[in-house]
Amino acid sequence: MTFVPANLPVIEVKQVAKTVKLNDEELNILRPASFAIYPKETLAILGASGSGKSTLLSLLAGLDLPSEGEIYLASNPIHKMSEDQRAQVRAQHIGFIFQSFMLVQSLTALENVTLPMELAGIDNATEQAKALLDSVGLNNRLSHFPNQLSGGEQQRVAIARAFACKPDILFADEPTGNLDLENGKKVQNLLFDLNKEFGTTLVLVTHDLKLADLCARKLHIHGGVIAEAINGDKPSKSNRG
Amino acid sequence: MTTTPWFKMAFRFLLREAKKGELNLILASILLAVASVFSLTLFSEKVRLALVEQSSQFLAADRVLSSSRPIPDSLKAETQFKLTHSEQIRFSSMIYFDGELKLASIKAIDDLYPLKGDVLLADTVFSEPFSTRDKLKPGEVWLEAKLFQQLNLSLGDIVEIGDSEFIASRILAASPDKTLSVFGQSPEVLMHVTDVPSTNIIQPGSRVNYRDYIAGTSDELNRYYDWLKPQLNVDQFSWYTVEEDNSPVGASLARAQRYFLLASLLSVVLAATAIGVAAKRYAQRHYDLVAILKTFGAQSQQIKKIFITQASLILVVGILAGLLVGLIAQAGVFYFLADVLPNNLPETSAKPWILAIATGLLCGGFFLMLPLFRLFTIPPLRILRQQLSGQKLKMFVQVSSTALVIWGLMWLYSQDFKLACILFVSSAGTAAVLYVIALAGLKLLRRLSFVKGGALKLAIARLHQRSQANSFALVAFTLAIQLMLIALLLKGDLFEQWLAQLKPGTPNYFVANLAHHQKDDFAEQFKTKGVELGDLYPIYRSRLVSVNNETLQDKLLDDSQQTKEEEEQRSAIGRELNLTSTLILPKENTIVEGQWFSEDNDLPLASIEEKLAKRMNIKLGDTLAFDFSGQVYLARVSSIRKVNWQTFNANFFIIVSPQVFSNIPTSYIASFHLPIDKQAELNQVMQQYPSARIIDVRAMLEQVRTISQQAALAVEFIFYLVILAASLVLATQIQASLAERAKEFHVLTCLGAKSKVIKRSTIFEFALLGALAGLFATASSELALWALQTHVLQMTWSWHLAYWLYTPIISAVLLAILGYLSCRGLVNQNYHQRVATAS
Ligand SMILES: Nc1ncnc2c1ncn2[C@@H]1O[C@H](COP(=O)(O)OP(=O)(O)OP(=O)(O)O)[C@@H](O)[C@H]1O
Ligand SMILES: [Mg+2]
Repeated sequence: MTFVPANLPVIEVKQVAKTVKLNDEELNILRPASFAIYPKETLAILGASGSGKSTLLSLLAGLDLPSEGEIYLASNPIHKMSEDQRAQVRAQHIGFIFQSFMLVQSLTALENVTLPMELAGIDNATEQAKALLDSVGLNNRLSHFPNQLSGGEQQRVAIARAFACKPDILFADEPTGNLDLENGKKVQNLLFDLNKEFGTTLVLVTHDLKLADLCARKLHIHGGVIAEAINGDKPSKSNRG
Repeated sequence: MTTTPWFKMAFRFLLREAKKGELNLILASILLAVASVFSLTLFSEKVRLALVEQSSQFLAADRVLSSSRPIPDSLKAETQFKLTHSEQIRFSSMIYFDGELKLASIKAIDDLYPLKGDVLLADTVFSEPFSTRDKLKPGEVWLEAKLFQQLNLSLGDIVEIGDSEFIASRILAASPDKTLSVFGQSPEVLMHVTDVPSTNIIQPGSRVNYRDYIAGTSDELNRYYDWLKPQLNVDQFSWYTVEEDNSPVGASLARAQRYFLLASLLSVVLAATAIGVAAKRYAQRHYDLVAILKTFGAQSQQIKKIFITQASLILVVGILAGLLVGLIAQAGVFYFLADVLPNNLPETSAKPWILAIATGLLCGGFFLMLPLFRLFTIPPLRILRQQLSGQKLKMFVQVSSTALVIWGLMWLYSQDFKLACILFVSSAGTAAVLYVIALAGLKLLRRLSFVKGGALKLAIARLHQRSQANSFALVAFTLAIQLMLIALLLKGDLFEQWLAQLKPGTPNYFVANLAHHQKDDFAEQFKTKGVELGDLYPIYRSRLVSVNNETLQDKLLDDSQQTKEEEEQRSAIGRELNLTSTLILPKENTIVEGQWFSEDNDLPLASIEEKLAKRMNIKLGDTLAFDFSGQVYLARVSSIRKVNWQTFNANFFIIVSPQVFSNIPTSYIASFHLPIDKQAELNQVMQQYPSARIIDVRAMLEQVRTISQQAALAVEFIFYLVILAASLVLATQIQASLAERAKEFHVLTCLGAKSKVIKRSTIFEFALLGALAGLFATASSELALWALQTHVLQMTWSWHLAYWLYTPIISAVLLAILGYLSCRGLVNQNYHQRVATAS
């Protein structure tokens, strides 16, 4: 696996920490950490359940704001941006895949893929969406609704949707978590194939060590403490939740 | 950006949801609100117009302007309003024929008479009357049968009135605007108004009543009145309308209208509740969509546009559909009721349209938009953390704005402050009391949870978690059942009172002017014919000359705005007054002050009607002096009575004890019910008593009966609308409650609970909720009914004990069945559907 750091990081994290107040008690979910992610890198976030993986992901994607520190996403200081401004940045740079698919139930597969493009005002959205669904092998399911599709199929629609706006960065929170082995494999292959094809930066949260091994870099979180594994190193004691 | 994607998106989401039936309940709620307001106002407006139309036949016009001086041409001959005016002059005069002379009430009419209703003629003195379109010609008079008998007239004879001669061309059976007085009023003669000057009867100082009869649309009439009012000297003019009519007809009409109003209010409130519940669900279903849209970069402006557009589309479709359904519903009702309703109903105004659309916009708009505020605050992070569900509006803001809208609707709709307040307070009171009970119960449980741990704690935690949803459901169920009960019980009581008013055997004739020595004979004769004569009342036509030795002129309170009744009272005082004397308190009379004459009393006492007493400032213990045929008789006021003037009984302002006019012979009056087939016998009997007068109130009774029947039909129709609205509330609430349970069902199934167990527990929950709601509803509707009947509808109130038992049982069973039917679908869903429903 080759690792070519470009000059400018797509994501730069400086002393970012997250604490929440719970019944008058300060709860440290993430301890201060700094790191950077460069274009076309693949990064896996590993850790036990409740260790703070999703929290980190939400901060990197600008879904939530850090309690301390700075986050630059494609050079945008998202730690001090409003919700609408962050949404704008997400629309331009980010794609998402979730464990529970998060498709819009009232829209067909095709319309689900078209949705982010329409929000961004892209022109020939339907054509592009069809091509994407074709590339995930669902060209014959265009007009089906999510509840007419299997879990694996739904996640493939979600992958097509994630690549719809040609994002610079793709965030995936346990993309195979709800799938059986076979479907998980399929989704995993698609994800990495498309990733390569579009030259996207991939940030992946997973419990699956094999999936993590496909990534160039690995971040381990343990009780809110973020540590980067040295390239090629196997995580020693990342127990599954 | 290319086109306006938010509009496309909003439209697409909407179409999809509509196709999947997700919008059915919310659309149905708006539709029902609009349709019920629309059809009810259309319907009641039309029925009201029809009823007014029928009642106006008693007035022979829509409005009457009356004065003791000639009505200026500028008023009666105006041309700026689209109204019809008909002139009438009333006076009393002697009528001569063949050396005999009799006093008659002359009614000088024009060619347009009557503007409403019919003149009834008869071929012979005792034959069945028929209505006529024939017009009275100048030079002719139509005389009542009595005059033909008394003067020994035949048709075509020439009679003299004043300085002029007239042909007695027809026998008059009844004129529509005849003053219904059971006392010795002289028989009526119709004369053409152009003949009046030639009689030379009207001289300065003679008692003449000039009348302008007016007909037209109610809008036009109102405009005319607004124009007229400032020009009128209220001391000289009286203005009569049908609605203010204090007759039995007017009273039935007013009561029916109140019920229409009340029932439509109930259905509006119910539909508003259904919209509220459905709209909340609608917003909750879109929490994930908003999170997804925001995650994929949607701006909050875009999201607002999408959902506001959607809500507006729903609202527009709901309102349009509601108008259509309302139109069809009332057309259908009129089609089926064609036989009962008069056929040429007047056109209604734009009011039903405006009210229906306003209701849709106000209540649909408010309840649809309210939950959107929370929807807009859903953070994108919800996509990772399902428990994030946005910021609730402050409880205070929610409650007070909802209360304001509901109360506003009630007020706008009823334009009756008191009614709106009673309904609102009773509904809001129920809700508040229920809330407090739920809260207290919860606190108690929480305290218990400190005592024990383990399973109990878990159960309490679960209860606590859903307590808000459960108490909301309880409040919604209770309100629906409560309003249904109010509509039902009120309908029953209303019908009962109407029926009582019109029960078979209600007197349809009065006999007056029966001499003292004739009365027993007369009653006996009737008895042998199988007709029961009612109570006989002696009539003493006397003059009230002083109160405590003060002359009356000083006592008359002079206020300008007198009603018809007051005018009658006033005209009775100082002139002749019909007193009776009896020891038995007449029916529909209640003593409000003092005591009724006791059997062993030997003092001359009097009982006076409440309003007259007030008007003349007469108190208990005052001494009244009556002039009866030249002699003065004294009586001390020993009681004050309330009289129900809305009955077909002989009613009296003053009743004296037998001691006052002891043994002075006088004439008697009585009422009786004469079956149709005994008509001939009546004529036989009456021929033996030429001086007695028969007063026929059959036409009036028939009128009241028809009106009550029509009103009853209308009430029935409205009642079903209320039931429909209440059912919709139940359905939306059950749906909402089940959706809240969906996640739990999912978890329970995953934990291996059998679907049978889940179903059974759900049914128990609903049955319990139903029983509780039924009980609360009975209690609160009893309270509301008491307030409504005693303060708004002027009816008597009594407990509805059976309902305390039946309502909780029926509502428990009903909700259990409904709950079972809806939860069957949910429990049997497959995994994906369930996750979709739960999210
Ligand atoms: N807003 C919040 N309020 C309270 N607690 C929070 C909040 N956000 C995160 N947490 C807590 O922080 C911890 C980390 O949560 P996070 O979802 O990031 O874990 P995770 O590593 O993604 O776990 P999993 O593998 O189960 O998805 C959890 O204990 C969670 O309950
Ligand atoms: Mg997680």
